[in-house]
Amino acid sequence: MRRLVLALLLLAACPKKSTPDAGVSPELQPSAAWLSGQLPASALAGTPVKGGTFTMRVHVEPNGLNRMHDQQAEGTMTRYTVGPLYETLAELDRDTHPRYDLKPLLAEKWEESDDHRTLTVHLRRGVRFHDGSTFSSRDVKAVVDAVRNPKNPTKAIASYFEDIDALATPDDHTVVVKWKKAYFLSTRNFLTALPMMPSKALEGDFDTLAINRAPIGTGPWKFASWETGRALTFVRFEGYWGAPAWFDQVVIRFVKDETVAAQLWEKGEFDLMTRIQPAVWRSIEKPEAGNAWAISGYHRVMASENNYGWVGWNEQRQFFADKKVRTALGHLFPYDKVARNIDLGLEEPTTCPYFAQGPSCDASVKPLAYDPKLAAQLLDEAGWRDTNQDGVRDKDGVPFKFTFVSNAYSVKLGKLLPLLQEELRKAGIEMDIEKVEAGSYIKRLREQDFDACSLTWSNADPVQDDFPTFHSSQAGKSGSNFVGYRNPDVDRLLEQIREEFDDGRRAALERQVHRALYEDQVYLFLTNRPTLDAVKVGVQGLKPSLAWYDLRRAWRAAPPRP
Amino acid sequence: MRRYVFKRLLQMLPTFLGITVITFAIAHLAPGDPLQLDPESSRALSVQVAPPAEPLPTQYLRWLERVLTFDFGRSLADQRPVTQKLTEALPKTLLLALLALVVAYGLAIPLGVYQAARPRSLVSRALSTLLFVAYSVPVFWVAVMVLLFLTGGRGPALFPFEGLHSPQSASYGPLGYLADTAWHLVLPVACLSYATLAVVSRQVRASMTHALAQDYVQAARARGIGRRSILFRHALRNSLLPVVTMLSFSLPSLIGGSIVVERAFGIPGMGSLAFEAIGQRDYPVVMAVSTLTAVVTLLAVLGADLLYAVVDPRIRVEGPSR
Amino acid sequence: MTPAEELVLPWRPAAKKGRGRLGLACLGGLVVTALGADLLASDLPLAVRVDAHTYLLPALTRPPQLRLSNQGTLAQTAEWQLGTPIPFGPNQTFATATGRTDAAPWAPDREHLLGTDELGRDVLARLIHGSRASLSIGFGAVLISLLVGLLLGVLAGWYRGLVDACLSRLTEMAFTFPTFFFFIALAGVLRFTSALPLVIGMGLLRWPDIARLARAETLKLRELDFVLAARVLGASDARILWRHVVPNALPPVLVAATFGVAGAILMECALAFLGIGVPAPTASWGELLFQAQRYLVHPGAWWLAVFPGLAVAGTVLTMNLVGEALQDLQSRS
Repeated sequence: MRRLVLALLLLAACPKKSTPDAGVSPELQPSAAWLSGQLPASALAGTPVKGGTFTMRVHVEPNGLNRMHDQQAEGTMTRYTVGPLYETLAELDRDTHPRYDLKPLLAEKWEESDDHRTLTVHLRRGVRFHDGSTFSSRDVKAVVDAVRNPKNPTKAIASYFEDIDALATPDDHTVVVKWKKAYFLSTRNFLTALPMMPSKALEGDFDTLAINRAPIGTGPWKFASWETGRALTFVRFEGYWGAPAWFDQVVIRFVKDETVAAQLWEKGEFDLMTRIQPAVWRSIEKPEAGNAWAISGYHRVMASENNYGWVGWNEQRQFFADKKVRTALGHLFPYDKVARNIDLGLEEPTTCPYFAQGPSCDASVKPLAYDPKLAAQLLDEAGWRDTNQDGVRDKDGVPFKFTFVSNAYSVKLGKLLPLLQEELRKAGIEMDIEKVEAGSYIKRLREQDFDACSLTWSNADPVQDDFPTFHSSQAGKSGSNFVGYRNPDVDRLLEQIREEFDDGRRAALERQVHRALYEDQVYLFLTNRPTLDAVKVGVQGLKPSLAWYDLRRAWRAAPPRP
Repeated sequence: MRRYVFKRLLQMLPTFLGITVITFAIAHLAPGDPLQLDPESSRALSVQVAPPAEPLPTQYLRWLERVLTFDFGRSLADQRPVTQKLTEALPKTLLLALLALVVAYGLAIPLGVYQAARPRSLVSRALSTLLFVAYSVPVFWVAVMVLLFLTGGRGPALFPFEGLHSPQSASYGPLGYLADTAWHLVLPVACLSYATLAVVSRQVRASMTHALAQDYVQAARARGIGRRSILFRHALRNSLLPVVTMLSFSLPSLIGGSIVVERAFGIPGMGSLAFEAIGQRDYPVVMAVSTLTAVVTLLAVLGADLLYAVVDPRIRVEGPSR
Repeated sequence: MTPAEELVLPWRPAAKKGRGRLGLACLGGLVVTALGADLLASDLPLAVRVDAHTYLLPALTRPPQLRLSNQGTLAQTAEWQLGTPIPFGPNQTFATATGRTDAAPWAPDREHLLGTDELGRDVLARLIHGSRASLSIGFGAVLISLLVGLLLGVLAGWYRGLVDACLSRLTEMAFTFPTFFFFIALAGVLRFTSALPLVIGMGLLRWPDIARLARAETLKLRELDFVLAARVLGASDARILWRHVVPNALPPVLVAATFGVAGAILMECALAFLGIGVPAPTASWGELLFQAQRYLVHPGAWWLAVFPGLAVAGTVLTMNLVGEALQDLQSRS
């Protein structure tokens, strides 16, 4: 065995590929665009050709493909199915970044009444489902009814449509929705959140509908097969109402393990590699022969997303009720070390709960700086002093000791928390780390059974409503105000926002919310995490956007003739 | 013989019931809701499942009643029948475990015999040390190491690193498909079998050494019977008895070990299924996997016991001395 | 795990003796390492004089005055200091005295003999401190199974009948119950805020092995002359069991327990590998291996997996060697 170990060690000592590179050959020198993750113009130009299979990696396997079922509505898969397979009444117009206006899809046009309480939608004619049936207002009604049926497990999506007063279908191509009250997101939600399915397919026990495993939509591809644990395959739908898609087939490969995914990617199995880990992203940058496959074989894609990571301090706990303490903790966070060693310089620090590139964030709000001295001063002012000289601050006889509840499967937290722990210890605060696996984690957060926690909020739409996250009425079991934040001023602003239909005025209100939230240090805001993907050279027309890529526009260039 | 089988089956009944009770209790005491969560981010959806109004014992009896007819209900996660998920996963685990068993015993017996026949040779001593060390090396570590050094991570890509088939395997034709699967199975089976191999070969060597020192072997030798014949005809046959007993220990440990190997090599067997189901709080699947694994293990033990009874008629009177 | 105590070992006595001694020596080394972890690897020195104040063993006492210091910074400010052999603590991030700022993980070099992890924590220091978690889990679990198993095994062997029947069924259950599943579920039920639930769980799964052996020994012993004599003299059951049966049943049980420690350490590592780790302040070896997996291929930090694995294998080997030596001793007496 000793010999075996020795052999293993020797192997380990060998460089990955034995070819020595005498000077870096040009095809190994990554271009500036490649390094910054910008697609070259050549990857978006050219004459599309029909044919071929498009293979992509996805990191989770959905429980089912009925996007309305609570256990199948998980966010990631929505991107890959709504668009290619399902369609909604309208889509986000990818050409209007960063606003993302609505663009007609299954609806030809729509009108809102002046009081914003009636929406009239005119449906596109001549649209067929994959099963051959014709799309009509009957199907829209069936989908809405299914969502709003209290017996169906559709609570997550139904929350958007609680305010529907009545839905009428005067003819096959018109839908009229009446809302109980005016709300700025009503129209957007109605047009973009409901994937259209044939009314017949929605009959029966919602848990065991055939479409949960074999979906039927109106999109440019239709469902072909689902091999559990491996792959989902779509094929082109020849009866599509719009311009036909270029690719014959779309294969979604489910690869959960990041290491395995990276290895499969290296073998060239994916036309689109998604969610590249920062460490991998960086390690393929070295101009070595071992990285040739990535440098000359793939375009890297780095694009902004509407998300942000945060650390939440439970404001019900005596430690964190005081804004000064939360600010002090913000000053103790080692931003630079985290950026350099964990984010590897790939993530953008943020202070704002809204889409960073949109008008809702106030650019004049500057992030707190790492400043242990200032933090110590703030903690002293807040009354947390080390009165008994044991190295831990205390107040009213209570030592500053708390537990950080962390999701056991989060890679980033696993690295970040030991760093934070060390910084806090130096400042006289003891932090324990409790790893909880995903099943209990959200429950703990929802029940406010934590001292400190961390999560990422993300949204595929730049237009969002933060009422559920920060309004005082949303603290407790029903909402997402896990930290128990209460500020009457912010409450009033959030209420105003809901009824403000002018984009400019709403953005102004949202900037006020941004400033107030950061002033209160409601969260320790971390970073925006960008998309880190890679597109195989030869796959054309895949342009990143908040609404993901538009697969309809993608094609594979014919290989150059020898 | 029939009476013995009957008695053993009867004895297994309380064990089976006990296991179902524990399984049921654990599944119903565990906190958390069924949900699907992107591990790193995004809005998590937690589904409030209305708690059934019935008391736990009633629920248990209902569940047991259905289990006895192989109805494990529907998965809370994807709403598919649990039986369907099991039929996808169980063959993979059994394939792994049985192959590992065959490999382990197939190698252990010749290795053990060789060591007993030439106890002083260098090869024999090296083998014995190697096997002793192998027994101490953790399976998951070996899995990580071979994955790192033999599948292209750092070193040559000699073997595939994931799954049971290549993505294009469906187009290979039956022979090609078989070869492809075999190629994927080499590392997992090797990882799963080496510990059992170490233990069994030591047992074979020990009992062979013991047998070779017996009078009848000496007598045979005195009568001038060939060395080969003595080894295989006389000594081996008699020393296989304790080796057969080991089967009933090997099988459970192989089935248990397969969860680690399945995780490491991304094989969607029972281990992976159980693991994901627990993460998702998918109780019907959790309970089914645990019960089924226990039943398979019980049957394996029963099989080994029966085999032992066939080999050694004395057993039928008393019961195996374990 | 297959019960190794059933094996007969035909090694030559001399070789066995050597192996036994080697095993004992290694075990001693391990125990010393675990007990003295703070003195072997720490961010604070063994002794230091700084700011006109002499601190003795700050590595152990951790005075608040040195809260912001480590051996690297003290090297500049202190009048003198006596460092620990490994001048880094297990949780000290970006531990370096040379001020390097390149991206961790750092490969093994003269400063970090076994390299560092992705947060620049010294792997050797983490291994040394991790031995505490691994060994205490191994020994703790076996201690529990020893106490429970011995008690129930002796009772079953002595009284037989119903107790015996129940014990056989329990043994069979513990034997067939999917072990990993048990722990994954246990981790869901109990919050693993310390190693205790894990230790208890492992002890509970392993006692039937011990009980089986204790029972067999008791069955043998109860027919022996000296036990019969004690009975005839009117000694109470409790007294006979305590004075005669238990001491005589102990040796084979101890052999099994030694192998059991090896098994428990392996089990803890396997569980940590599956993500059911113990949230000890300092990671156990299995936890180190679990965390290492992510960094193996990119950026190729093989040292993160190789060394903890060797530590586990070495420790398990040690326990197996000791167990074998004990077995040998027992079979000769």
